[in-house]
Amino acid sequence: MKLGETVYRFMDLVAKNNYVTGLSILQLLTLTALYSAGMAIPIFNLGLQGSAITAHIYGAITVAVLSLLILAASWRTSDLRLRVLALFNFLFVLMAAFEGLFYFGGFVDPSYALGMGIGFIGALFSNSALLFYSISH
Amino acid sequence: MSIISVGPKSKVTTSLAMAETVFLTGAFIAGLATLLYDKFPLQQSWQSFILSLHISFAMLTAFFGVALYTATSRERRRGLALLGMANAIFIGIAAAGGLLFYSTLDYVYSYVMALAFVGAYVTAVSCIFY
Repeated sequence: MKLGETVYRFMDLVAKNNYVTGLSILQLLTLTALYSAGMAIPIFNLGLQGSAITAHIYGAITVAVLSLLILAASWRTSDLRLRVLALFNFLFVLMAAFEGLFYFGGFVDPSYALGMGIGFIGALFSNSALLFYSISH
Repeated sequence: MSIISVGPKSKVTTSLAMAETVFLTGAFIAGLATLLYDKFPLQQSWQSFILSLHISFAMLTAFFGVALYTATSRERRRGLALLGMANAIFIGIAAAGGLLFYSTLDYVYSYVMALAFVGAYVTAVSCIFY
């Protein structure tokens, strides 16, 4: 297949389901980046200042904005499964954000960090689900 | 692209992938609790309880990962076969990282384990929904 054709086929894929596929790809990449930065902090005992936490917070903001965009995009399709998955994605990101912000803001109890991690895993689940569901439907 | 063709999909693959996802989620939560609450080398029994929970979920993940690999390799869609194989490879990397950390207590290996987990999780969830 020629390169031009490949690019067009890829763009058709990205635009599927009102661009939920493309947005999910972006969110998956950002989730991986923020997870790498965020995990480095407790593993290597980096502390809540410096480049790791900054990268993590910027990634988290991007993920939050993207989850709202994915919710909006999926609502305009009439696919109920997409809507439910996108809603779960948004709610889990919200949970992770609140728990993480409480931890960062001063309630330095590990249970808040655990809550943030549970929110992350929910967001990762729903994001992967959205991506692969919208690729194949 | 032949990878993204839609056709029939075995219910066995979907069920195995769902079980695998549950075990991976449990392994992640237990592992995160280990990271936050345990201090290596372990001295208290409640610390080893949290770690045992993580190891139990991880072993279940490994067994079901092999099962998922065999189930997806029989699928007509090549994409599913690739995802099942990638899942097994990521689980292998994570297991190696975890075991190396447990023996050497060098935190780089636990970082490898944490990163490989994301790959395993994404591929396992994708086998449900693809």
